[in-house]
Amino acid sequence: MNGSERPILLVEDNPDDADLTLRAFKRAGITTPMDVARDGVEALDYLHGRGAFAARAGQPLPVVVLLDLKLPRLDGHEVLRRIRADARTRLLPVVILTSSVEDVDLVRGYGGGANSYVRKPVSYTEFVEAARQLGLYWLVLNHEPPSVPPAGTAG
Amino acid sequence: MSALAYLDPNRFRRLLLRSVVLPAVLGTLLAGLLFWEVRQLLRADEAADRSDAVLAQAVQVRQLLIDRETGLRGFLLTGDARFLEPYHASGARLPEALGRLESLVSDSPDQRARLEELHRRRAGWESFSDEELRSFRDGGNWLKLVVEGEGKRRMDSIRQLLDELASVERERANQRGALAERQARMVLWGGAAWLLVLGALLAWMGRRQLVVLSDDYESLLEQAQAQANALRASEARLEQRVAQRTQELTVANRELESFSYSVSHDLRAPLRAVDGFSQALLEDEGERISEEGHEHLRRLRAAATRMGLLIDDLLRLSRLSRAELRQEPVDLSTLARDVAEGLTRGEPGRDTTFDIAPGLAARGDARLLRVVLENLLGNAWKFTSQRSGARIELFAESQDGRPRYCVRDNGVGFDMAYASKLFSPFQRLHRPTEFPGSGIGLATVQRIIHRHGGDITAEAVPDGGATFCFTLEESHP
Repeated sequence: MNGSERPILLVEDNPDDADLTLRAFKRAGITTPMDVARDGVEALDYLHGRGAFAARAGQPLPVVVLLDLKLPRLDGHEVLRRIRADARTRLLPVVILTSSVEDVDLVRGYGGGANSYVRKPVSYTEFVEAARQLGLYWLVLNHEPPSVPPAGTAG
Repeated sequence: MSALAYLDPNRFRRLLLRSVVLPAVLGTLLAGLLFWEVRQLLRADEAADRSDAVLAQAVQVRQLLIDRETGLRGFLLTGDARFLEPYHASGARLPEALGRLESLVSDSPDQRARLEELHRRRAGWESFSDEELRSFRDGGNWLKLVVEGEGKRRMDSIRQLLDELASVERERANQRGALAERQARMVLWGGAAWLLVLGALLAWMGRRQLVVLSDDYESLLEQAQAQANALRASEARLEQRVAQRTQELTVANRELESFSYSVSHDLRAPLRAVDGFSQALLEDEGERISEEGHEHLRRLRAAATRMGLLIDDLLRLSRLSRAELRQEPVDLSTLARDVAEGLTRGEPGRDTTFDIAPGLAARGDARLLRVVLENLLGNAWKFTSQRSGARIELFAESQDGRPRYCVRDNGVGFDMAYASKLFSPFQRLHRPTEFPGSGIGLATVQRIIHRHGGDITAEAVPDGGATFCFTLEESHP
């Protein structure tokens, strides 16, 4: 299993947040490549290798998806619902990474099958620490489900 | 709809009176007329009886006179004294018979005059017949007296008078009878006509009163119906308004939710950027930035962090306002001990005594009441931080039969002149450098207390401690 080569997918519409998240992961010493999808539709296109991400067709799924909830076009909850509805992405680890700690979002997030729910702290120092822990947990500590080969390709 | 449906009782009484009194008056008039007519008939009958009696009496008088005349004539012709018996007998009965006749015609002047004439003529005849008898007894020429027919003439004139009296009486009786009959017929027809008119009048009036009453009833019914309709309409309007308000409230609530959602989500992102890029600047360009630049960047990051905390507190306040309120038995003493323990753990070295009255039972939302105690005890803890021998109490007292819970400290207190600002969000009576805080804690506490239906008050003296007391609406007495 060649985990270190598979990227992390960050779904984030705010470029500031995206840059800071990338920076925080880098600062935390995580070398895993990070791809960014700017909204829910892009995220799904990325996962399924279509549209702007047609080049990714046949590529393995990311190690983990860091999913913001408030997104243009499709929001995070809907993206999560579709990920869980698709046989290929059904078991993909999804971490909700958002500013909201509204009960509604927590309930909907876990109800929709999120594997974790992390609030983005305002303090950058705390954010770097959060990124470090996330990387450690999802890239090192956590055991993934056995990978499902992409449709139409020989594993 | 101002006036209620209403039937004037006086008007109703007047209507009833009119429909009773008028027929009664007309009926009484008819009865009076009939009574009068019956009396007339009775009187006519009586008069007819009297006429009969007069006629009979006249016949008797006539018979007596004839007896008297024939008795005298028989005696004169025969000289037999037996013939004088009827003469004397009738002579004895005549005054009584005449008296009775006289009393019978006493009410009729012409008949009385005739009777007087009769008396005179009879007296004349009596004296003449006395003269005949005397002449017969004296052996005079009585025959001449008889033959001359003076006696007969006199008697004939008497009889003629009697006949006249009888015929007048008969005529009068006939007239009276005819009159009575005419009157009876008239009264009969008149009464019938009267009855007919009365019946028609009664029918007309009854109908009129009924129409009036039914009009009244109908207008009343219409009024009542209009009122009922208006009531129903206003009820419907009210319901509609309630529905509309509920709808508006739901919309407002939804707006509030989406507002606080964006606050929590969107307001934080720029702050993260401020903090994050300041840090990035420090990390990347740290060596080239002056000492002063470093301080500015530190302040920038502190401000961003502080604003993040403010947003969190604001969100908590908004969540508290929207959260559903549970009603459950709550042991405030246990809750308070829990909170106090947490505070003491956070700052173990402090010389502060908690004096929490045991068994303070209340009813409310345990989660929210915990927030209340966290804030009140937390404030007390905060504002006694510079005291040695600090003391924080929780106790209950009775106010109007309801328990009132108080948190008292001997901390720095505050000036009561600013007490009104205490419970407004972001209002602070102390400098943040002195005592940290967002200024939203007491606003949150007040919101929770109000949502429980209670009230909260504060009392303090500068540098003499503060007391916060609150009530909770209790559902059990």
